[in-house]
Amino acid sequence: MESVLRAAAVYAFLLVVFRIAGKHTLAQITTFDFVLILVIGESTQQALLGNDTSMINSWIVIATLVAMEQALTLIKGRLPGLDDALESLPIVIVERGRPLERRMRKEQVTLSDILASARTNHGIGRLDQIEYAVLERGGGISIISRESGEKRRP
Amino acid sequence: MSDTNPYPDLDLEEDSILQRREWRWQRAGWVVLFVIVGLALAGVFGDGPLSSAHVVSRTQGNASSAVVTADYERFTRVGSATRIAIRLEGAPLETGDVSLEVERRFYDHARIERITPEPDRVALGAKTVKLVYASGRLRAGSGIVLDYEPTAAGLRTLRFGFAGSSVEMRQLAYF
Repeated sequence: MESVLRAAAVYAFLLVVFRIAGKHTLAQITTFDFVLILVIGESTQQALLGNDTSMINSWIVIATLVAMEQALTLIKGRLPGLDDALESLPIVIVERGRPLERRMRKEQVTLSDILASARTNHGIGRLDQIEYAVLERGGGISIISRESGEKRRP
Repeated sequence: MSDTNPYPDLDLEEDSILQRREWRWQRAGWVVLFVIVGLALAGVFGDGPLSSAHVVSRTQGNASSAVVTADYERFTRVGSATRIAIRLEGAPLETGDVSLEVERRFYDHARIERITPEPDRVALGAKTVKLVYASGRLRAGSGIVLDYEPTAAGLRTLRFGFAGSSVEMRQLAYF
């Protein structure tokens, strides 16, 4: 019983903490974000397993975590509002080459984050070539280039 | 959904009201996180200035000059090692065996790791466990240290007695 409660509590806590931390944290934009995730994983492990390192215990914990995830997905399917509340929504942070400063500040995304994403994923080197930059729910930054934006417009 | 989509060439389920609410909640969440860290530093979750406590037995009318003092943690955590340091003083130390009385229920929620120095004998009573030290082993101001781990969460009162005097401690064990 304790293993299930333990896993459920850790799951709920992580859900809340990462929601509070914002989209940006999980996207692993900087090296340190990656290190942070690693260290959180390490501390979580102890809380999940306690002193019981038996095989069955780890099965119980894994089963609980996956079951929680499934249950949450089911509930979110029924309640779209909950989905938005738990997973957040994508947000435009660059519009026609113009960075939307307030939104970037609120989401803790810097111009260099956006430009880095433009370079890595789209081969775009300048801000004015970006039609839209969207901070996605998962924290990644999608870039829609001027050209592809223009092609779509009639 | 907001009524007007400000980005006509972008299929984006943006919702400015929800977004603003989210930012508000996030800010509130950060405050809560900082408060939690602050409380943890202060020792509210154990191991810190607000957690360390010191109690001295009140001298009771029955002429015993025995004094018990104890240093302990107000806040502990299940499965995390903690310690109670007990100091005995007074005339009863000089006369024969010395016994420290520990309430039996203390053992219900604690796994004792070590008692230093080890008692010569442990006597079980109806409600107490007596840790008995042979005459002369403990001197005035001698300390007895109990290292243990709470095994269940909850708020408890611990009582330690020595020759008619006793100290009482309230200890909270977090899950």
